[in-house]
Amino acid sequence: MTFQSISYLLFALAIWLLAIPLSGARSRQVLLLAASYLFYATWGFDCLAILLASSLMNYAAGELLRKRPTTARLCLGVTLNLALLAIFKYLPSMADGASLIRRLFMPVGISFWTFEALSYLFDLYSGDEDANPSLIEFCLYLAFWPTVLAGPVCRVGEMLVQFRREERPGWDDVATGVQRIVLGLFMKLVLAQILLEGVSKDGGVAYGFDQISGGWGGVDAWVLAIGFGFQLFFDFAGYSHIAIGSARLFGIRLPENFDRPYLSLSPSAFWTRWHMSLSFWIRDYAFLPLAMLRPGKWWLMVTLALSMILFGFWHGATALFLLWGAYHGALLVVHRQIQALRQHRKLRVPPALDAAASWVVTFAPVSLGWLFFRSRDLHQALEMWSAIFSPARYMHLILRPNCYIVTAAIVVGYFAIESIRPILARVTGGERAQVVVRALSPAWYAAAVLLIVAYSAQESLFVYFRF
Amino acid sequence: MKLEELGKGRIGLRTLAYRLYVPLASLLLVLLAGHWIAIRAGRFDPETALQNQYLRFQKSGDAAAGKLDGLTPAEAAAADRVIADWYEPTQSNGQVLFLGNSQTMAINDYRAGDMVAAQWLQVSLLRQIGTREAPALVLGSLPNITMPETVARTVEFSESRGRRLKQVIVALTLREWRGVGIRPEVQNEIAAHQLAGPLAELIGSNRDLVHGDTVLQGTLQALKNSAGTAESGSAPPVSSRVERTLQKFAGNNSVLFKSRPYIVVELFIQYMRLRDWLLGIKSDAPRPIPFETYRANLEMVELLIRYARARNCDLVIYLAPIRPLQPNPTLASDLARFRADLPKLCARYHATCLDYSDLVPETKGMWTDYPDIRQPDYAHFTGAAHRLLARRLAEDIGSRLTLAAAPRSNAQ
Repeated sequence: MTFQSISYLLFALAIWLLAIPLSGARSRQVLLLAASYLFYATWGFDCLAILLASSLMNYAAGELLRKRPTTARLCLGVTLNLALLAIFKYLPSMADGASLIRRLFMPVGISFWTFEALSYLFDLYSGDEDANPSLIEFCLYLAFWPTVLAGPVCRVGEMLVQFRREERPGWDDVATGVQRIVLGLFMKLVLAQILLEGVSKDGGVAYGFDQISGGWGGVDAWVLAIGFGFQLFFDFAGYSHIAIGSARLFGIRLPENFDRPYLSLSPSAFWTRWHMSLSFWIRDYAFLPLAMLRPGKWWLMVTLALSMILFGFWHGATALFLLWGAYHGALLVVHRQIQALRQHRKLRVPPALDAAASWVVTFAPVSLGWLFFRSRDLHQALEMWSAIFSPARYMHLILRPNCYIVTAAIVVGYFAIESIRPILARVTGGERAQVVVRALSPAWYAAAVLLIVAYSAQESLFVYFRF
Repeated sequence: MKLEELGKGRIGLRTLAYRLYVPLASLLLVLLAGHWIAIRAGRFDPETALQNQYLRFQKSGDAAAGKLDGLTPAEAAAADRVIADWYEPTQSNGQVLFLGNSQTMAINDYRAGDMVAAQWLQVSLLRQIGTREAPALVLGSLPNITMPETVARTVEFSESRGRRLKQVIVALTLREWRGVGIRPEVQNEIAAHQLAGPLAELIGSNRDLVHGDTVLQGTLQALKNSAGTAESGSAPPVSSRVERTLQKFAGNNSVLFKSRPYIVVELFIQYMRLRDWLLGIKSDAPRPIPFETYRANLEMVELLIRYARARNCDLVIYLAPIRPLQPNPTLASDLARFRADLPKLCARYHATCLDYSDLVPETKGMWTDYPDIRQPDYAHFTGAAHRLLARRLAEDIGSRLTLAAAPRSNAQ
């Protein structure tokens, strides 16, 4: 069952209707857990069995750690989780075609809930007293259906408080939940889908990456890099909106995953606004502990690079993901050096020019990084990169005209909306303006819903279900 | 505000109306606007609308209804069967698959009784060797068909008809060589007919055709992704079945859901109109073919030739007629390259290549201009031109069609 299906909407509605009359936290937890397992079982009972095994294993490891938080016990728990990831995620992709390991399937969302389990063990080890779930609560924490497929990666402390809340969801929770589900569906089914497939065949980024064997021009490489970056953004941010909105219907607030990342003015800022739940996880459980091992700036840079390589490796054990992670590590290191240099030299640039230049030197390299993320193989990624840096190849166009036009329209439209948002917020801050906005909002929702329905006939999965 | 407060009467009517205004008004608008859009979208024929309003796509029953040129009822019925969607003849005669773009399916300035070239060719074969003996032509064309789609449809047809497929006639149109994509409908056909295996086999046995292979690999990968990656464990049949049932239910009971594909087509048409208006694009705008897509398409032709040979199937390729008018969207340099490369490639495999690119002259009654916008239609021709093309095909390959596609009992 996927988030953009009719069955999911009916499923969420049915569980909501069942949950509303329940008064106690415990009964709501049991209902949500049963619903979560039912939801996950639609992806296969074998997937559910692995999730159950992981839940019991981690709960037991947690109990051991709670009794005596030793490094050995933590290592045991971490090793078991990494082994699970290795067996079901990494080894099959590395094994050769005929071997038995190759035939192992990857339970959807394993990277997400394994990282949630790891954070639980780390929190217990560090003596977090809020990490004290019952077995049901812990199972619900790992299996909670809005997050089980592709995050956001939650922390046990922040979820437990909400699972234990006796209060029922309020009107605002439901209204916000529905709004975010509609927004998420619009981003996924309309915007991401149009960028992926184009308005006509041969018009999307999928065509440019998958069906052309070579010869991309400079403009083509830029359009594909930026187009894919936005497709991924609308796809994953759309998914996150639906996940967050679904949880909100039950009064549960999940951590945000995106905060207008393409408006970032530095690579560091980008990573605090893109896939935030995972990047904060990496920061808290990989970067900070590593950085504190040794003093010195050089070690900080090494740690930054290593953390980003881990980020890439989390997506998959391929050279391209590792390269993508290393590339972002290098961007962060370079950014730190430039920051230090600017502070040292006390360079003064007009703020508007500074912001514009910072945006360009952030957006462009981040977009180019997607070429590593999306390419079929290293050869394709390198050929596209060489097209970017070959002036002669800017005269050569290989994509269909609609691909350039649609990508440009969506990207420019996005930035235009983001630019006028602060102005609109100021204008609509007044009481009268609020009334007008409220009066007009049904038209926006109706248009969004109609477009969602029109494009809902096409079947496609969310990109991050692969990880 | 808590939800339970609603039930306990603690919420004033004004607050309630304020709260419910947005959801209820949105729902009402969705229902009203959705109904209006769906009704409007359901009225047009997407095939015609995508091309132009003067173009008529030939439909099953047209030949029988037309009764021109002294067609016997049997001939008219056979001509109609040519364009019936993936018609499966009951007779054991050999079958001939006819593939091309909208030029092979549609007639400009249609007059009652007009038929497309494939239908005239079928009638011609019937007249030559009689109803019982003549091979059955099947028109498997698609508007804007690409080479990968041509290969996919040939494989689909061949896999489902087995040894009864005797010949494939492919109309190659240069303007379709600007891309190498496969539309979702054809991808669905590949998935539905379980053609991923045969296509993967085809790729595997032709590794030297790197560029052509990449195209098909991309399609197979897309199919794999949309079905839920193998690594992720694909969605199990029960939930898929439930979703399909719900989708079907929604399609049967809601006019909006039913007309979803038409709404998307209408949106596309509006987008194209806006694009052409904004950028001043007319029908004679040059449509250059990038070298890379040209090379990939040429390799796809080679793949098709090899596939046909392996299947012991006679392949006939013809370069589709081009309107002899300047300026022309087809670049002269592209056409020269096309006319030089295709025969050379076919000669290497002893496949038949016919050059009909200047078969249809710019005389009255052969081609059409769009009267409202005063732009020539460079892609489609009239019923008279279809007949001319069919006559030429019958002359060039008619005898081969009758020989090779004879009933199995006779052939053995």
